[in-house]
Amino acid sequence: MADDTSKKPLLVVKDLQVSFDTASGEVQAVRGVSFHVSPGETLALVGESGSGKSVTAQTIMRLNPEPPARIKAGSVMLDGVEVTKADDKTMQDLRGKTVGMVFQDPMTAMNPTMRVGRQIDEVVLEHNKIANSEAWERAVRIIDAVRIPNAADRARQYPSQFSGGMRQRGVIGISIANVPKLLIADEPTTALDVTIQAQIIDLLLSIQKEERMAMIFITHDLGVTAQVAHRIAVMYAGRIVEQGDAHTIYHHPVHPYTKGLLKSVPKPGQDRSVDLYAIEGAPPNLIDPPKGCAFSPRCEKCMRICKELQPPATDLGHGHVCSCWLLDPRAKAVADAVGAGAGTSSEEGGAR
Amino acid sequence: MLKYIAKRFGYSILTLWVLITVTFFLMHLLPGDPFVGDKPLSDSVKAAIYARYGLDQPVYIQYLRYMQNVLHGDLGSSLIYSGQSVTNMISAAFPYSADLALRSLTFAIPTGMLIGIMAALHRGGPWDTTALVITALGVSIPSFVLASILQYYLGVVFSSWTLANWGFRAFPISGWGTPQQAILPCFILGFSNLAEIIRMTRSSLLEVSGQDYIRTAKAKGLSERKIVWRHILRNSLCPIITILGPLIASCLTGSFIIESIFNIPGVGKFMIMGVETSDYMVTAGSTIFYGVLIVGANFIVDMLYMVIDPNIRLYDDKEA
Repeated sequence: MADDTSKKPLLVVKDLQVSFDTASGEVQAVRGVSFHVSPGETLALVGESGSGKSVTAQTIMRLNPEPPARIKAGSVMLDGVEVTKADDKTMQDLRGKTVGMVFQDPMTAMNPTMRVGRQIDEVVLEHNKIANSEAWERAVRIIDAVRIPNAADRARQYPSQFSGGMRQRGVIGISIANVPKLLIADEPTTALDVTIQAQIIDLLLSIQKEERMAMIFITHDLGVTAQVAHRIAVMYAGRIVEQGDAHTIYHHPVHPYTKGLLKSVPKPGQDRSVDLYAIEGAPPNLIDPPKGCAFSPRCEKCMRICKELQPPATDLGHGHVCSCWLLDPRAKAVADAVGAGAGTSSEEGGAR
Repeated sequence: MLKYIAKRFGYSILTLWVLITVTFFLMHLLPGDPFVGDKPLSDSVKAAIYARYGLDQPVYIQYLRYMQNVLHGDLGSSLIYSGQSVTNMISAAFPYSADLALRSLTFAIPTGMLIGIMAALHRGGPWDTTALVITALGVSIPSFVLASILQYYLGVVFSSWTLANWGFRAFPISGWGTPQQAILPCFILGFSNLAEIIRMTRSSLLEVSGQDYIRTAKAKGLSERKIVWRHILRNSLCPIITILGPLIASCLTGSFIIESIFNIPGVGKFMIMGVETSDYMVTAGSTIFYGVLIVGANFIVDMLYMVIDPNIRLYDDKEA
C-alpha cells in the first residue's frame, strides 16, 4: 500500500478467517479479512450487526472463547507477534498492555462488586512490578485523566454509583491504563445517549493523539465514523467489501453497499415527505454463505457473475481497495448493455 | 445500611406473624378434634376438657391467647401427652435434628461447591459428568427410596457381612448416638442437598463466566486463575448463598422423612406424630418453630448479601 514505506504498520491482518462451531453448523463469521493499522492512525470498521466487526476485533486479542470460535486461516501480526499462533502466556502479556479494548456496554463491562479504582489498578499491577499503593495512585491519576471529577473519591466507589457515561470513562481508563500501542473501541458510544457520545469520542481521540496510539474504531454509525477515522473499512457478511481513506469512502465510494450505507444516513434539511433510503433485504445466513458476492441478493446492480463467483479485491490506488464485479473491465460492457452505467453514480455519496 | 437491616427484620417479623396466624386458623379448620377418638366421651367430660384447653372460648379469643403465649415462647401443651409442653418437647428433640442436619451439611456444602465449581470451570470434563450424574440422581430419587435402597444393601446385606467377618455392623439402620449410626442418614439427607448445591453453583458460575465484565477481565491480560478467583467466584456467591439459607433451614427441619425411617427422635418425628393424632398444639408448635428457623435463615442470608454485594449497601444509602 501507498503509506507502507512511510509508516510501519503496528497491526497487519491478512486473510483472516474465523468460524464458530455451533449446534446448527459452522458459522463463518469472518471470511477473509485483511487490513492494517499504523501508530497514530484510526481505522474505522463499519458494518451492520453480524457483519463480523466485533469478531474480527476480538480475534486480535483472542477474546473469543475457543471453542466455539476457531481461527481457520490467516494471520494477525500485532507488534511483531503472530497472534493466531500465540500461546496463553504471550496473549496475557499482550492483553491490557500492548492492546486495550473498550467495550460496547458500559453498564455490564465492569465488575459490579469491585471498586472502580481496583479494577484499574488491577491491570496496572498485572503488567508492572510496582507496589499496590503506587498502582492505586496511578489508578486515581487515570480516573482523573479520563475526566472524572473527584478522582480520589470516585476510585473508591463501585460501578453502580457511576452514570453510564462515567462508567464508559472508567472502562476507557481500564483499557488505557498501561498506554497500549493499539486501542480497540468496539462501538464505545452505542449504548450512550447522544450528548455523552460526543464527549466519549472526544476523550478517546485526545488520548489517542497524546499517546500516538493506533486505534480500531468499530461502529455501525457512519456519522460517528466521520469524526474519528483516518481510514474506513466497510464490512459485510464477514468480509471487507471496501476500504480506503475516510475522504475517499465518503466522497467517492465505489461499492454499492457502501453507497447504500451512505445514502441511508439521514441528512439535516432532508425533505421529510421522502422516505429515508433503506437497503432492501437482510444480510445472508453465515452458516451457508452465498457462493458469489454476499451482497448480490440485495444489490441493485447485481449481475450474473455476482451470484457465481466472489469478486476479487481491486486496488484503486492510494489504499482504496474494493471487492466488486462492477470494477471488472468486462462489467462495463454488461452495464452498457443493460443501460445503467456502473460508474455514473459515483457522485451520489459525495452529495452529503 | 441500618435501614436495610431494619427493613429485612420487619419483613421477617411480618412473615412470622402471617405464618402463626395461618397455621392457627388452618388447624381449627381441620375436621374433628383430638378428643374424637377411640372412646366416646360424655358431654360433661368433654366440656371439662374443652374448658381446660380453652377450646370452649370463641376462636378469636383462642387466637389472641395463643399469640400471647407464642410471644412468650410458650407453644402450649400437647393435647395427647397431657402435661408435656410443646416447647419442652421441641427443645428436647431439636438437638438430634440439628446434629443430623449439621453433619449432612458439613458433607454436602463443601463437596457440592467443589464439584459445582470444577464442573463449571471444566465444562464437558469428568467433573462435569460427575456433577450431571449426581444432580440427576439427587433430583430424581426421593430420599425415602434412596434410604430404603441403602438400608437394604449397606445396612442389611453389607452390614451382616461385616458382622460375620469383622464382628460389627458397618451401617446400623436405626437409632442415633454412635458415629456409625450417623453415616447413612447424614449421607442421604445430604445427597439431595448436594445435588441442589452442585446445580446452583455450576449454573451460577457459568452465568457469571458469560458476563461482559469477565471478558473485560480477560482483556486485562489476567490469567484464568485470577479471573476465577477475583471476578467469577465472588459474583457467583450471591445465588449460592440464597439457596444455602433455606437449605440449611430445611435440612434442620425437613429431615422428618429421614428421622422417621432411621428412627431418630428429632423434631420432624414430633411433627408427623402431631399431624397423625390431630395434636393441634404439637403441629402448630413445630410448624412455627420451623418457620422461625427458615425466616431466621433468610434473614441471615440477607445480612450476608450485604457483605458480599456492595451494591445492596449502596442502594440503601441512596434511598436513606
